Amino acid sequence: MTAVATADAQLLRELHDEHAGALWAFVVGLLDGDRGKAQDVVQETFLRAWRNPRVLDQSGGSARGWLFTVARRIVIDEWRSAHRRPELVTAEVPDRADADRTADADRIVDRQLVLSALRTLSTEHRAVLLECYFRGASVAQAAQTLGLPEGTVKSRAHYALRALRVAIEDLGGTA
Amino acid sequence: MSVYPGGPFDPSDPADSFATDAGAYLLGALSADEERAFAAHLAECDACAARVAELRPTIGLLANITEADLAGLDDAPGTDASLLPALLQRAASERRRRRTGIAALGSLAAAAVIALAIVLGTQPWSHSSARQPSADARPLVAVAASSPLSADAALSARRWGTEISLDCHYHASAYPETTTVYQLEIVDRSGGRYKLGSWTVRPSGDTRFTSGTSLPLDQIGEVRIDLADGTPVLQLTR
Repeated sequence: MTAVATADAQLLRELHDEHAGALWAFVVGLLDGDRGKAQDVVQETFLRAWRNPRVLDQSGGSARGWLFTVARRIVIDEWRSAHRRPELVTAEVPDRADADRTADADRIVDRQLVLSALRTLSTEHRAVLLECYFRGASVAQAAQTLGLPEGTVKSRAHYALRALRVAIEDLGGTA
Repeated sequence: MSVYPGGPFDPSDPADSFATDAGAYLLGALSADEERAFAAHLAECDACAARVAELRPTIGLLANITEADLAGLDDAPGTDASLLPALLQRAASERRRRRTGIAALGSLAAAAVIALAIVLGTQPWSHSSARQPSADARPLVAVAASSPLSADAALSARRWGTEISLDCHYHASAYPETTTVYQLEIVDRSGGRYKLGSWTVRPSGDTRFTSGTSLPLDQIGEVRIDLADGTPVLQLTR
């Protein structure tokens, strides 16, 4: 194996080891569990990074954000082309169905981005969100359940939301 | 006390005793008394108001998530064991093709573009002067089986980015007379899409549409003409 080929393999190996798990979970979620399609999308995403490794340096240290953004675009393109109607070549005003599809796509992408961001949160931050958001507990109730002072529950709730917001942005989303 | 919104705070400072209430407030987890006090405080504290504004969209995004989703977060499927070997293999064969100079004719469209460029005897994507933008124009390839539109694209490097000129011809004889809105889109090397404007093509007469982008020429991977609803019609892959 030549030195170039070894360096190639090294970059892909590193990208894979660091990001494949997170990217895979995100893409499988976007594709509603279709592992075959996910394999195609994740491969294509990594290969684009490998073909043009400068983009990883330029993305402000967030290679993961770049990878998530590219994977998302590939999936959205596939959704679009699945709805292509080549027999209708003349232009139409985008109809209601197109707007609905776009809204659906946005919802699916947002949901999977938030799930991916939640995966990066610590168990403490997840626990306080579980109590105070999903179970509707008050600070006092959550303090009791979690065995923490109320002040700690408040600040954890605060920092959990901030961590979630930062995580979503790191993955290329807006929150 | 924190001097910038959402920044660090000093819990010993009485003015900052509200500093971490924003999260619990937005979650609706404060007691009735605390909530009233915090709401009153918000009216006069820019830092707390900024924290609330900063976190509100994040709460909104949680609306699509359920408790079951949260419980199942770590059950996310693992990657296929075949992923890394497949990647390495594809990279190695791409590298081989590049080294040996055999063009990777990945698709019929790519093959057609190259064939047409040879027939026309053009130097693909050479940087011609502004006065002769069509000298190195190249045809776009139809995406759909049939399209009433054909077009040549000329890309010219400019100090500010890249100029793109399209010469469009509408084959009126073969298609019913319609006036159609097209839009120009480019895709950069990382898959980012940029809309560069739209124009109307009428069956009578040819149309030239010129637009530009700040992207340098070598960053443009694809030029596309889409219908107004985003359906691709013609494309040129570089």
